[in-house]
Amino acid sequence: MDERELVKKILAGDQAAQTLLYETHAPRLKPVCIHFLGPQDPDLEDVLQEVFLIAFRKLAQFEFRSGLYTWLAHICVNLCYQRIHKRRKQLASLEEDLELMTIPQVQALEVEKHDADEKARKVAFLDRLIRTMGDKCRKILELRDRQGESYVAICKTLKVPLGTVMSQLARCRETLKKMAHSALGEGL
Amino acid sequence: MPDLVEEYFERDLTLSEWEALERQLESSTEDSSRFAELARRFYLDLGLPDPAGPSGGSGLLGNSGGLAMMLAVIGLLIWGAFRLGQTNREVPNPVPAVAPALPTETPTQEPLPVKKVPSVLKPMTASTDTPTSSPTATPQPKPAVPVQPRQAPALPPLPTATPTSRPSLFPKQGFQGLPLNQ
Repeated sequence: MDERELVKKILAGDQAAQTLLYETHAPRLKPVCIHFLGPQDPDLEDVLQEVFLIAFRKLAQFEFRSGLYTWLAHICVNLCYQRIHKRRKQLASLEEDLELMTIPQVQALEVEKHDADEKARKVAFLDRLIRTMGDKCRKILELRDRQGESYVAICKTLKVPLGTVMSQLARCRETLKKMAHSALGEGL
Repeated sequence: MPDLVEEYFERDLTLSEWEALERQLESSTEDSSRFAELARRFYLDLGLPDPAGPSGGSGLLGNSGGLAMMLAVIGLLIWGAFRLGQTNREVPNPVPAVAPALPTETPTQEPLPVKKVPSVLKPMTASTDTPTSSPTATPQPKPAVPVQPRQAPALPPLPTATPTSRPSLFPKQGFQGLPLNQ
């Protein structure tokens, strides 16, 4: 069926045409999502669904300046990018939380010490917690926090997609934060 | 100005760069496609397998065909295992088909003593006869007692209905009717 005809039918409310569009393009869009987020990403199916929800909503604005698949892939790329961006923001806020959480507690313990000494104590405290974590989390946290590697470099070292690195890092940081909270709670 | 699409795969972008890239991807389909292509290449460079869609299977018969093939192989294996089990079970059985009859058990308990009470009842008839021998003794066949067929007492013959003249309210000559004009 011609793309223009298909779009016309979808706009007229033909459900069979909607299904046809989904079944034609979803299998081709899934690899695009996987390239960004990784095959094991829990958001993979959500992103794919969202692509079509947006497409059906904005189909009236489609001007046929490109192919339908190109347009859908464009939406898909943007959604994947937004997911990764959101994770980046989440990671940044987790890092800040961890800093805010550890500094006052450690400072309360060692008020008279120098900044460097405080930092060393804080790092030792976090190191001790990281050592008790699983292998995957330990590796990724060491690469990012100890060695200061970029996300791209971590991707290449661990052989996982960018989205996976970020989601794993966010999960590990969340776990570390909880562990630090409970350790400090018990210590005080 | 650096190409943010390519920079994205080289290093961590700053927050302002992320926002600029977001705007760039939203506005341009070409940049978005280029970004997708770079993401694909980057993914493959990691050594991960190229993902295949649900219907774009690269196997022998596609994904659904592959599934059917896998099920067929599993079925074949189960059938093979079943057949192997049957073959092992067909080994001649050393136990004879008909086992010798087991000796029947004899009662080991002595019979309970039966208290003999002199009978004060009227002489026993054939219908109320009780065995006097012990339970272990084999029962002897009873002599056949001739039973006299009961004869019903002769009833007086029923009176046979004889046609009689029924009493009538009306005289023999019949109802004449009332005189009409009286």
